[in-house]
Amino acid sequence: MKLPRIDYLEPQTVGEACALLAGGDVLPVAGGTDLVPSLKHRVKAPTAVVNLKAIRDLNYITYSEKEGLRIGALASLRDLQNNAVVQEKYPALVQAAASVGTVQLQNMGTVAGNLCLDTRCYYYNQSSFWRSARPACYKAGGEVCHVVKRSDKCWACYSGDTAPAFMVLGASVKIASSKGERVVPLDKLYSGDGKKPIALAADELVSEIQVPALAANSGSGYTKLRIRKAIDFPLMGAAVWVQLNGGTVKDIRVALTAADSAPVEVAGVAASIAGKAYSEENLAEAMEASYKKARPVDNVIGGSPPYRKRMARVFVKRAANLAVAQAEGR
Amino acid sequence: MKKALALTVNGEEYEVLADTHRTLLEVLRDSLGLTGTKEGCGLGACGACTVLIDGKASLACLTLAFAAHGKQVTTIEGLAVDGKLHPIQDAAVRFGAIQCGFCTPGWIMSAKALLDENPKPSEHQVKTAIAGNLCRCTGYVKIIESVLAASQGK
Repeated sequence: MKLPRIDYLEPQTVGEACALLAGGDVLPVAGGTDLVPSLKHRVKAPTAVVNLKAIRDLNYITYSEKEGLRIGALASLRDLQNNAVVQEKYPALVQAAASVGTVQLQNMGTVAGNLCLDTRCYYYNQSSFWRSARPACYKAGGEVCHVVKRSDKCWACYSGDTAPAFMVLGASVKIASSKGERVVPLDKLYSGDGKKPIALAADELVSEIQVPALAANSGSGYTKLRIRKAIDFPLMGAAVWVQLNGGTVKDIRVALTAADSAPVEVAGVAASIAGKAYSEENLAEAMEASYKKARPVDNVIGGSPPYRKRMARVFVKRAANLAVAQAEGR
Repeated sequence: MKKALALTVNGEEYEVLADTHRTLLEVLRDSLGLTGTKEGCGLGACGACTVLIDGKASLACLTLAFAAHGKQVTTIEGLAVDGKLHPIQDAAVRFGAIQCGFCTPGWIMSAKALLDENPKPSEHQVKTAIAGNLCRCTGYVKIIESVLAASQGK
């Protein structure tokens, strides 16, 4: 499959990159694992790509008790899972990064790029020939959704693995633009709009991911539903962060992926289990809230929406078991 | 627009004129004549185009050629030394891990990246490393056996 004719730009600094991105009809690329297939499918048609990979000093992963974990925009998914501190303190990030695609895609793809993953849909991620049998959908620039009939919006599925894991860990992203930098909580990176899921202006890019230092007696886990043990995007994915206090749960956070057009934090579940022992019975309300919050639609191959929705309960439970195991030091 | 592209492939330096929208796969196959690397899906799901870029298993079909400018690329053609097959290639032949042969260059490069990093992998680690290489003949058992045999010097 051929790429369309596009120009190739290679800035050396973040400032240069933002200036090029502000210049018009261009798109940023780092690992290329998300953008290049979309270019080949002709669903994205910039005049040029701006390769961020040559920017110096953006490939790092550092940790300190004061600043927590800092991940530069060019650190790969493989760098993340091979990092000793991440392995020790943030297993959910390792589990999420290791479940992205394949080893090759993890070597190429960046953590920041995974957070900025475009939403996906069976009717969108197809060649122009395949798509030519139907009118263009909202995401491809048309006026119709082939999944949710008569809908007035795009329902494409957010399918990133690492976003829910970062979300439950309380991560923020540093966004660079031609005007300067700002740091926003991770959930503010997502618009919830399937057509334009990443809430970044044309000249903005994620330059760093920041995760607070690990709280005492806490743990995290991520696990996902998929058909094969590799390659597949999640059909439903859940991340859980839990903090224990002796034999009881002190706090818990839950987030889902492949559940909507953005990664979803299931808010307000801590009250139902705080002060109680960790058990499936006491987790039931959090599982139920996750089930209610998940809104999968029939736009990915591998499982019906009702099945995927029901699996939100199961995968929240599994992720919680992983999180509690870490919190208990097992 | 054509621009000058410098690559080191299998230890040899090349300079070619290439369009900016070419993938590394197209440059390897069409400009350099290194047709050992295959195009399967062209979308990153099958692993047939796996090459090593600076030692890391990567997909040539999703790599813009200019993103590999100045990098060290290793393809299947670079494994044999003086006509002597690499131990993984040798084991693949002996264990019958090749059927139609289309996926073979890809999984051998994935296996090489694994063994360079971890010379004594477990069976599970081998399976994880080659999970991104689809074999339509489904000869996975012999592929896994041959990678393990190569790692054990058998």
